[in-house]
Amino acid sequence: MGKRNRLKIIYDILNEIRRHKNSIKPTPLLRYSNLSFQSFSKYFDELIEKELIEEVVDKKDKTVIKLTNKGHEYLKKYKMITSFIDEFDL
Amino acid sequence: MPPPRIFLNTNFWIELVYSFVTLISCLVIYFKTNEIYKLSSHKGLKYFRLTFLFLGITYSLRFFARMFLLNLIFSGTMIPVRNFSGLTSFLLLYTNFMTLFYLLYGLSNKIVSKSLPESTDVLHMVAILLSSAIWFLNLRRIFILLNLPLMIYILYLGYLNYKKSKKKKASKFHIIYFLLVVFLMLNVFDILIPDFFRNLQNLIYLSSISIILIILYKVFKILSVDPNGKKE
Repeated sequence: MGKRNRLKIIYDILNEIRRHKNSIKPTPLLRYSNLSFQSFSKYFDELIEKELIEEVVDKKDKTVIKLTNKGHEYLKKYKMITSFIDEFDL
Repeated sequence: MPPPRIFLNTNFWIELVYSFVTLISCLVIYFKTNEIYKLSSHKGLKYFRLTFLFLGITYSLRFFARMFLLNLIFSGTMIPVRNFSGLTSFLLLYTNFMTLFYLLYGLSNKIVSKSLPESTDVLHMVAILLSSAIWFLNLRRIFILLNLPLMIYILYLGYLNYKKSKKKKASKFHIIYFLLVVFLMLNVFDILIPDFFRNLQNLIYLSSISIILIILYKVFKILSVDPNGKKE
């Protein structure tokens, strides 16, 4: 597998949350993301800040990560974004 | 009552339509890409959008500068046309350089993403310095020479991107970007040295509009594709 770029890493993280029925705990998400703890934390903070994901306390009083509407939109438009960037050589 | 003199001038209408089409096309590109930029926060996209914002402003300022040159604005009034014309030309030079800088920044992003500084204050300062030098030291004739290295750099970036591309696929867009810059430069030069391209002016207008419309078409084509594979 080649080196993933920033947009692909974000896509993979968001897709992992969606694959787990839009509710996953931070530790398994870190494992599935194939990133170091340091890199994952950086991406995690960015996703929270950009409101692509949110931390929610579930019924069992545990913190889980969920996609926001913007996060769903990113997954939907990921292909469009990458083809735009490729086509315009950005 | 007869219509104002300005409305009877054919040049006014040609300039108005030309500037209006270029400005609207640039603004449509800028606003149409807003959503994918907000979702991705991609640096290349940010500078691509700013390129077209500044390009739109440049073409609008060019319209006003041209109107001053044609003496269609404020003629016969007490307002000093020369002062307005000078200020507009200076701003035109500044937005021209910023358009070029943002385009180069956007294209460099793929190659040197991490080493590109976040702040573009230096670019604004360089653009102001270059514009001041050209305008106040009356170096208008070397304007093309100042643009030349930037244009060559666009072609060089195209070559680097081609080398970096795994599929060894040359981007057609570096040629489009190159032509966009060439015609922008001709449009600005036409203001700095009035009527330099007297007989070629309509050809330059037609080519400039065609290039911007090609980009606009491509933007629409990509952004109107539904994620499920259907056209929106």
